[in-house]
Amino acid sequence: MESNERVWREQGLRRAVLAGDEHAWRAWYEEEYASLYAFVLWRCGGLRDHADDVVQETWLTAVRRVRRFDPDRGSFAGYLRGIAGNVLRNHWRCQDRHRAAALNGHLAAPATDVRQRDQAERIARALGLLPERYENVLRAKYVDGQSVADIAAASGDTAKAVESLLTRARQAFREVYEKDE
Amino acid sequence: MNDPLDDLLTPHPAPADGAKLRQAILVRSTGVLRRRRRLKQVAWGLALAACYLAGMGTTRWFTPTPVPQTVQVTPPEPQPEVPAAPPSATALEYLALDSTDHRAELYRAAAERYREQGDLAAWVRCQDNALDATKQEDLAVSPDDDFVTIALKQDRQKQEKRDARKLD
Repeated sequence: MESNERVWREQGLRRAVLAGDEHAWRAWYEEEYASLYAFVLWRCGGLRDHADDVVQETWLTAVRRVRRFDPDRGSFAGYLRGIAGNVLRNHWRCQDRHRAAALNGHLAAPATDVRQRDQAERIARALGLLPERYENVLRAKYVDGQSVADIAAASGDTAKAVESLLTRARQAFREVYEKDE
Repeated sequence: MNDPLDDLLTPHPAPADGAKLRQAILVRSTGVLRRRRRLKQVAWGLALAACYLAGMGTTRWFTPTPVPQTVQVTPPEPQPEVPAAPPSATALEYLALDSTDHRAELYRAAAERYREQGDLAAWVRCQDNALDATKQEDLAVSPDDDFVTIALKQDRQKQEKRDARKLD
């Protein structure tokens, strides 16, 4: 019932935005901004400058491609996270290239909190390398703050299955994170 | 004991001063929306203008061009000359009165015209005036003379004989 209501509402908003209704876009934006920013900041390992760039790029891509969003196939929040995932991938790829160029050119790394920044980038890269199922369950637990029972209810799985999935996801993250050390 | 993995995965709190970025992104994304709307309006306008021009073109190209009409001006056919109305009997009589060379002929013509009109008195008068203008040798009775002329000529001959007798 809630899903139907969500679909109906988002279809209306999509139509309004496609017709150029700025008020509809503002309402949608205000509704989703905080959760998207939290997700991106988490995926960026807490690095705010990266998160700001990614969030901006994500919203601009979303407004340009709003026609592709289909409320029947998923929520707008999910659509935004999908765009953010792609933007993050490109972002980190670009960062890696810059880092390699800096090392080749013997450029001095910024002195401020280098160790903390390096750790944050490792977290971000590790999250980006996880399979989607693992990333989703970790996001539900850490970013959305859902309990195992809530995640199980939302996904239609048992609590035990979710617990198991969560354990595997954490293990996978640990492996990727430590591998990057 | 807290798992260090939880520390790594626990999200950092969103910055308190994020309102500026939030507003900036909203302005930029709304600008994209506004530009798209204007582009759509312009596209509609152009489409309408194209339809209008296409209609104009169709009207112009498919309307048969008027064939220039050549006007042939034919010179007016020469009208047959209407013969001038013959002068009236009175006019002829006046002409005869003013003429010196053709008085006798003009009086005869006037006399003829009076005869056609049935004015017998005028007919006789003009014949008599014609004889006045006629040379002496032409006063002899001719077979072509009508009876009035014959009578007038004979009367003149009698008068001449009487005048000659009186002179004798």
